[in-house]
Amino acid sequence: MMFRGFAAAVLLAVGLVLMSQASAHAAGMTAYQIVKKSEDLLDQAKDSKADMFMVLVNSKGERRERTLNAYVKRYGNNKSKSIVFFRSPADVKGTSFLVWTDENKKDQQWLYLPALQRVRQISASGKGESFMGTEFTFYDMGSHDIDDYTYTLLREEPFGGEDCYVIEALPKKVEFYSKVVIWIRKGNFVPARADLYDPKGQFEKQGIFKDVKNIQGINTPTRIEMHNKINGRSTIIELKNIVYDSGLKDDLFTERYMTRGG
Amino acid sequence: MRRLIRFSIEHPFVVIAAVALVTVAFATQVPKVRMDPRVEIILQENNPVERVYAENKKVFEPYADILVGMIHEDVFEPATLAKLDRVAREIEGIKGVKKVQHLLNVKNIQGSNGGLDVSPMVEEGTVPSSPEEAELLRGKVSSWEVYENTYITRDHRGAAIVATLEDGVETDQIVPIYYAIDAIVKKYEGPERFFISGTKVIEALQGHYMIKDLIFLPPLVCVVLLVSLFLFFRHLRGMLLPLVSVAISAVWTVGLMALSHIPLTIVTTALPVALMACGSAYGIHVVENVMADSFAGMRGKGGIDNAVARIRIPVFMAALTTMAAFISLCTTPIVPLTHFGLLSAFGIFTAMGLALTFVPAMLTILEARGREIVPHHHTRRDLVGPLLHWFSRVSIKHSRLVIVLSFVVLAVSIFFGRHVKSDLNLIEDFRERSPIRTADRILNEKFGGTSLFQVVFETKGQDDIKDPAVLRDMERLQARLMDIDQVGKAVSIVDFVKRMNQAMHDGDPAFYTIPESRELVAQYLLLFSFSGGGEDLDSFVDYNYQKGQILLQMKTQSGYLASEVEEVVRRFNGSEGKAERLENVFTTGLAMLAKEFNRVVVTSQVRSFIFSFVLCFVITAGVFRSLRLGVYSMMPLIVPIALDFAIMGVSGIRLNAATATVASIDIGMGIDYSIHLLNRYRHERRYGQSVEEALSTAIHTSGRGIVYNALAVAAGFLVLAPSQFVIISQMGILVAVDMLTIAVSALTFLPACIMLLPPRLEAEPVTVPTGKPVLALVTKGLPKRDHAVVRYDEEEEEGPGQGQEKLVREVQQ
Repeated sequence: MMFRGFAAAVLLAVGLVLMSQASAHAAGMTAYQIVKKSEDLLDQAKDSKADMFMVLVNSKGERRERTLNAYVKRYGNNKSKSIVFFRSPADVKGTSFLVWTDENKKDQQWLYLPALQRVRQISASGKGESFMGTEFTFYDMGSHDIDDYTYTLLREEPFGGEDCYVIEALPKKVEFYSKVVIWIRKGNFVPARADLYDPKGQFEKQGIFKDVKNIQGINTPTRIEMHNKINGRSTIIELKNIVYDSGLKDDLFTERYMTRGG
Repeated sequence: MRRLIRFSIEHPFVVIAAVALVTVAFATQVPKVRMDPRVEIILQENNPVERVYAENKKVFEPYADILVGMIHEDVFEPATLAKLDRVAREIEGIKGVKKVQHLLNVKNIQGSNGGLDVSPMVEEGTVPSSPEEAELLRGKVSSWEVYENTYITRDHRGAAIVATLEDGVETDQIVPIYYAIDAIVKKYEGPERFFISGTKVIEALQGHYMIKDLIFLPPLVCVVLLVSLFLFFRHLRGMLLPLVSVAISAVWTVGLMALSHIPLTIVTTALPVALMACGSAYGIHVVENVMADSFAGMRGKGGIDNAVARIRIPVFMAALTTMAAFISLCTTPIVPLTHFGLLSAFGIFTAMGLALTFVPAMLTILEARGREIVPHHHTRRDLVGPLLHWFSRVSIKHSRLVIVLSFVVLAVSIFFGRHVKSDLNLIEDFRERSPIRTADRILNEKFGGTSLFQVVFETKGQDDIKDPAVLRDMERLQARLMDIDQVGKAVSIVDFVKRMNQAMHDGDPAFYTIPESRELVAQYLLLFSFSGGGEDLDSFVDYNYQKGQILLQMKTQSGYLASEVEEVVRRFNGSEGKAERLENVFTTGLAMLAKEFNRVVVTSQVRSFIFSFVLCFVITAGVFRSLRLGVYSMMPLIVPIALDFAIMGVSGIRLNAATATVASIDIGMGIDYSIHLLNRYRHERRYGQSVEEALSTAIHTSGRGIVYNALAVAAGFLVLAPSQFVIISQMGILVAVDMLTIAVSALTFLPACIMLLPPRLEAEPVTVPTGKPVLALVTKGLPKRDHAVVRYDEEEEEGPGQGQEKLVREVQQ
């Protein structure tokens, strides 16, 4: 899911999802059980919307800031549609970006440039490519089969002042990551941190999930950071006005709607 | 100083042990010497041009550090494309390589069927395997000229792989990268040919060749010194002691270099050789004097002490003037010259110090144990004698002619010397036939150019680069810059914006233009960044779109080309109707550093020249306690130094970081010849000889030492001739030639001047207790006791010749 996808981007990358408060106490659970449990709770929300403040930071610490409105709707297993509308900076206001995601296929993407008043389908990106110029890849943004990875509970330790399970996820087939290590908060099962290792085994990126808020019963981190350890760049996303299950119409995720500026 | 000498003779083992200890300490530092052949370190850090360059490098991502060109009949043969892909992949796998770009993976922007395609020319892992696919790719590549002459030649006979390096990669780490690339391309060589160049490679290879020089040249100078020492002494002791002492001083100097974190540059690479050529004389003096006394019956510690004490002032003076001349190089803003000057001065000081302590200590031990040595006499074919005779005859009998001729030579020299040009051109430092120079030449012929240059647009605020008016200015200037001969390629963000506009208008070539609205530009750029192309623009714009640069590929890095580019930019800056949001346009790049170097090298050459001239004058005037003799000492230097510049002008040798040291070395070394000759002349005059007689004696006695010394120093510097670097080779040859011309000048022009205008001599000769009249060499601060024992007569003259001359005379008597 788009903004939950954002919120849990890295989590989703290994087939984990945010767990609701309803999830059982996990004492004695294996790593796989923790993940499986969360998988079962995956489809809590059918759609979601949020205001997004995005900061791209380069290796010199310079920033590019954007505000967007984001809408996501799930369509069954591992399929979703999402659309974002740019609010700022002023010169790109009204630009919209529509993505139809299918885990098994290349994403389809359309872009509407208000200055040109035209919608253009843009060539499909590889899953490993940057999503909207951020440090997240399309792969990070999508959801994946839990069985693509094997899980080991490494240890339990505090992170950011909260007790966490540290779970190592190893892919059965190395494609984008050779290893992912996830810190999951014991209290609410919301991920706190994820370390991602590239196919060469190099520590590539670190995701941080902060400011967890309970929204409509779903614990949602509202600040997500992704720090690229190789190129020194970071992407920081802050989510506001999150609404789950507002019944977003299919119309919203069409070329026609893109031109209406959200 | 006296006490130190005495101590060395009394406790030779202590001194030798101390020297050995210090030498070992310095020697352990030697491997830590860091090499830094980067061009940008040539200018001081606070140099404005250097600062702009350094700051600009921080703003924009590097575009091309290493270029690998592949030359083939037709690059678009599937097998050749596959090879390109494999080579690129392997290069990308090298540690330290950040990014590799070539015509298969560069981003193409294409419009099609209402869609937009921003993706690599060839999808990952789908290199064309059939001629049809290859033709498709050819069409795709040809449809956008932005990559032409960068990644692909116009005739499709050449493709380039452009590598950029990780941020922290130091120059000395690039050499292994270069060799790794070299090994890769060697594997795939044939029928395709590969050539590797690029500024980083050139810099790195300089470092590599520096090592070759360092391995090859110092041993060679040792051999040359051994041969000259053999000719002087004909015994092992005389050959080895001066050599060992000057070699030790070289070790100390290089050790100091490591300790003080002074990097090895091309210029400082010549340091050990220059030092050994200049500094060996001190040891020679000491050994020669001690030997001579020993032969005359003054043996034992007392004899050695006497001999060394007598020679110490002349040795000290010779070292002082040479140090002064080297230190004068520190007045330049050219960093390698400053380093060279400081280190040489230290080295000369050390060589002098060792000659007065370590050498006597060794002699003491050797004399106690070794067998007696009979000095070699110049009895057999004496080539120098007749030459000196001729010099004395010409300068005394035809003094007017000599002076007139000298002035003619001076005038002609000034005429030709005017044309000396300065330029800093890395690639031209290498020998014509070196592989890197060949590679660089071929790449420059086929592609846009291996030297990068930047024309930077600064705007008033964030995002102003997206302003169509600014972009149109950029486009206009870019076109003008492309008109400059030697500028092979110019790329900027404009090319991407135009292509994007075309693509969004269904590929219609009529829309290969800058859009009218700033919003549209911004939206195109956003779109481009969505397509993973964002970082591709980092070489062209800063993160906030406040600065943008036109990247020029140039065929040479010459400062003269930089001036041409700068002139075009200057005219643009002065033109009317520029974009309102445009603040400033400026140029930067290595070629600008070359241009700045050209500017400072001339002024600094003049400055260091004057500085060393004045310093040496003050020293000699002090030594002689006579301003007049100070003036006379400087005179024989004028014509040879003018001649030096004339040689440079005529032969096309440029004033560069290495040749800029020549005039100072000339002064520092050459002044000694004047001192010797004048000193002897004054000595003889005080004995009551006529001007003519005194000159004749001076030429015949001091002249021998002068000729020997000039020959030895020239031979030492000639060792630099086979250097890997053209500029070092030039420096070696120039110094060698100058030493000889200065010697000739000191033995002809100087005596001729004295003949015509004999300097008035004052002061009474001082009598020492031995009864021999000697010249009191009074220098400030020396204790009175010392004055009487200082003799500055023929035995202290340069080279062993005098002593032997005297001995011969004494023996004959």
